[in-house]
Amino acid sequence: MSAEYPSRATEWQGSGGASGIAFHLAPWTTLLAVATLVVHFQPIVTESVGAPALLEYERAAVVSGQWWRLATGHLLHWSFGHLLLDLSAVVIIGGVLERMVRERYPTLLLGIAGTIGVSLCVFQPDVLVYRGLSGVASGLFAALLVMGLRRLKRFDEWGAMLMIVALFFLTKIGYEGLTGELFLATGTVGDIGDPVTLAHVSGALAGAVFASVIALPIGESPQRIDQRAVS
Amino acid sequence: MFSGHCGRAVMLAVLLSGTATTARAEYTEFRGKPISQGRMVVAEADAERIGLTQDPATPSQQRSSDFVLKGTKVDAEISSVLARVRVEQTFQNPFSDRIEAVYVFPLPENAAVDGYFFKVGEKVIRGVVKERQQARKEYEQAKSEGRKASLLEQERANIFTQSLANIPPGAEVTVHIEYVHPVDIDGSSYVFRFPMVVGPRYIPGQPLGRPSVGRGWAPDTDEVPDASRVTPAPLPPGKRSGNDVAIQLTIEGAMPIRDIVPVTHEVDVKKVTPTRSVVRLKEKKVLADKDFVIEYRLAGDQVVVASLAHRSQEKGTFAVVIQPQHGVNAEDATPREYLLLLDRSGSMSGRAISQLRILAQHLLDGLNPQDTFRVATFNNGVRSHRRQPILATPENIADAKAFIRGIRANGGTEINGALHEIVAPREGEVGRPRYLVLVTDALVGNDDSILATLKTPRFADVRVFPVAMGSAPNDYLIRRAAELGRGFSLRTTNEDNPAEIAQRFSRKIAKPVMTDLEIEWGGLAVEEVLPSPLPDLYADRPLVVMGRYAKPGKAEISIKGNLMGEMAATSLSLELPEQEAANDALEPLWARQRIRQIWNRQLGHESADAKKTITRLGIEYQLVTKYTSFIAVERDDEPVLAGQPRQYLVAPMLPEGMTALASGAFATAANANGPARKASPRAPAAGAGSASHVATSQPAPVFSNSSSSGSTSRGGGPIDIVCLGAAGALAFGCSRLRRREEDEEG
Repeated sequence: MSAEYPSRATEWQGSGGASGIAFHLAPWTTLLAVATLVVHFQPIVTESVGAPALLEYERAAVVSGQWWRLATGHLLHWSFGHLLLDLSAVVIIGGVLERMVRERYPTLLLGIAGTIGVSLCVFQPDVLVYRGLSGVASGLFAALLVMGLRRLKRFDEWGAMLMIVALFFLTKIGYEGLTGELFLATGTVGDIGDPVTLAHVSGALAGAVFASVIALPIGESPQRIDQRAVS
Repeated sequence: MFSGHCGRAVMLAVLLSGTATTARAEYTEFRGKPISQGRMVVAEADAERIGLTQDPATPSQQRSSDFVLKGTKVDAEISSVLARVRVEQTFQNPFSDRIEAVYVFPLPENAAVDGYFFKVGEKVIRGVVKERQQARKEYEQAKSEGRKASLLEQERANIFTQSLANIPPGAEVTVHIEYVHPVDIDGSSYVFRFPMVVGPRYIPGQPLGRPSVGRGWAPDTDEVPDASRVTPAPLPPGKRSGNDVAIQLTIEGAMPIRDIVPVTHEVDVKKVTPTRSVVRLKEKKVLADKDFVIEYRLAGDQVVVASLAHRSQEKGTFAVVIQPQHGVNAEDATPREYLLLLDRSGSMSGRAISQLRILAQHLLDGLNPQDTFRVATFNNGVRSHRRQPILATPENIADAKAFIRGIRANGGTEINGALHEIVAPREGEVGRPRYLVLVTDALVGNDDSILATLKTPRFADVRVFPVAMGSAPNDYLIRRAAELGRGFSLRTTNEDNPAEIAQRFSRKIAKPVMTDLEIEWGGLAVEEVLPSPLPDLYADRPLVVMGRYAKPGKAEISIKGNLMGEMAATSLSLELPEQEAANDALEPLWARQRIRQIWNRQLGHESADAKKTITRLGIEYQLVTKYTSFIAVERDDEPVLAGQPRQYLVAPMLPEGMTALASGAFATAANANGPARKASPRAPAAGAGSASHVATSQPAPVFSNSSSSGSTSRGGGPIDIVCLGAAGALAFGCSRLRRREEDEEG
């Protein structure tokens, strides 16, 4: 798929209603959201388990060669509440991030998802089945943070806010990495077993690294990246 | 377009909104830890609605010293295959008025409760068994006269109510309950279990047009007319009761004891002699929030075939343990139809549902390719993987596993509907034996209605194998369902490895079953043999047969049966002595077994004859039954006060691992089905004009983290609302930066 991103002047001129505009502005994020919803509701609507059986991160299947599950497993969720929270974060962050990195966004997305999958496979073999976009959301958060900080030319109010957010995020990831417990959990989404905080940590690391190294090659300014993507 | 200041204000609002959400504390914390997956919380409004909150009118009850039930001490002795257990419940009145304490508690469903007294200081007041209504009448009279009195009533075979009237202010009263039961035998292992908590039960049906007969949170309904007597309002999640439990178990083996395996609690084992060991809880006081389970083996790797007898009167009683000696290596490869029915009700939330998912998937691994299977889950309704049984091909099994992994716990426990759904009348092939594997915690109030269903013709060709889940399952329903369904039951605690349990189950079920069992008594004049008729005999599942005799003798008895179409036989020596003072527990056990049989037969159509016989047996053998109760009244002292004492209901803890979703689900399911199922919002009603109390609670000083650690089906954890706020802030900030940059460049 070749995504054509509108310039800022034309970015609100998409057609086809809200979904059309969303696709116009952030096609990969829109596709990801639609795919996640389809995969979630397919078993309920069709009363069969096609999508989970084929896409779920199931360690045994991954080891036997079904590598796609490393990435597609994130599309599945344990409950609608789980999906709603995870997907909201991905859409909020991804929508902005995709506008920044443009055609490199799918690479970034796949890189984060794949890294989380591999990390689980290697470092947490007791997790036989995994679902959820929260790891990817952490990765996108880290990536957007890197992008934002790199765009920061002076330390003004926006800079202060980014620093606060960065501090919060680092604290969260650090805490989760060190303790294996969720940093905060004020929502309730039903029974999904113990959280795998490794997904958050590895996702965040992958997001930061991919954003720094791949999506934003060192020595190239954010402006040039944007300009090159537009041209 | 937002101005810069406006944007910052929005940003701050977004950030602060997350903080506010945390600080506002709309939810109750669970076990003193931040809320996360597997530790479901319940909104305080809901908690209040379902009666989980404390009575605001009694703030003084916050003090830990205010607990009325101070502790439970258990002293058990196992000799051969019989366990005699002495339970001591200590009640103390911390109030300035006399109180009546009411405590609903569990005992093993096969226990014969044959001893009862209460103690005030050094004074012992012994109980006698009387017809239930009469005992209740005497208790109420003593209560109103200001006398100390206690009453022990049976609600279910495994649920009892202890009422203790007129505990003086500041006084301590201990109630002593004694019972015997045969220990469970599983392969070469002996299993001892002591239940500690009555888990919250799902109550189906419509409310009856009369006041409820008990003080529980559920009103009586047409399906569970005594619902209010089996639904004590539990403490809120994360709160502990004052009931500290101490357990000591003495094991006297016929052979040297080896491999004492503590299943649920840490214990200290003291080996007194090779055949005698004493087991104590490592912690002197444990919480009453899950069953205590311990396994042990004797040298020799197989159960010693035992025959026991006791005779002190005209008639003696005997018991023989029949250990199947067949099929140890054989496997019955007959293709079967497996119906896997999985409980996804709210009470399964937390650790139990994680265990269920793993167990069920491994159960599927145990199928043979020529078997057929069908998987269905149930709560208020039934959800099937397929509408018809399908072949156990690798593809079908993989598909079913994905279905199982998607199971979430919520809602009610409509087992009857689920049973009818999955055991549909057959179409086509009829020769394939049907095995129904019911995986559940069985926490329902309509036990007998479900058992009656299993006796209907629809289930005539179905063998039922219940697998109990959770930390405090309903043992009565689990075991009786296996008994009536001609199968066997298994138990998975939260500490067990469900994969191992599934493998063990698959191994057992693959062994051939000995049917048409008969015993030739070799000329011995035995009578009233139980169970009758003899059930089928499974490998590694020894059968205890009991009976009476009038004439002593000794003979070689022979056990015959049909094993895969061939006659199989085994024999053992049985001596019926002229006099035998030992094993006096056999008499009440035999009587209990007889009562059990009568009860099972009358399920679904309670009869006056059955009631009369059970009452007679209860009074003759001094046993607590559904129709007979222990009553003890202090008659020596002059009553000092008249009038009704304040009633205090002892609240049990929520079973370990059960999240608040469970109790919330009971209420939610109830609301969805009309007012009958609505959890009672009331604090227990006042008794005769005096204020009642909801049991007190305090934060647990020590709590093990018993959430879903060890679960293999997991998620990264949902994005928290605070993180979502931060994400919004970040996205907005970055968006603003980008635009500013472009504006500056443009």
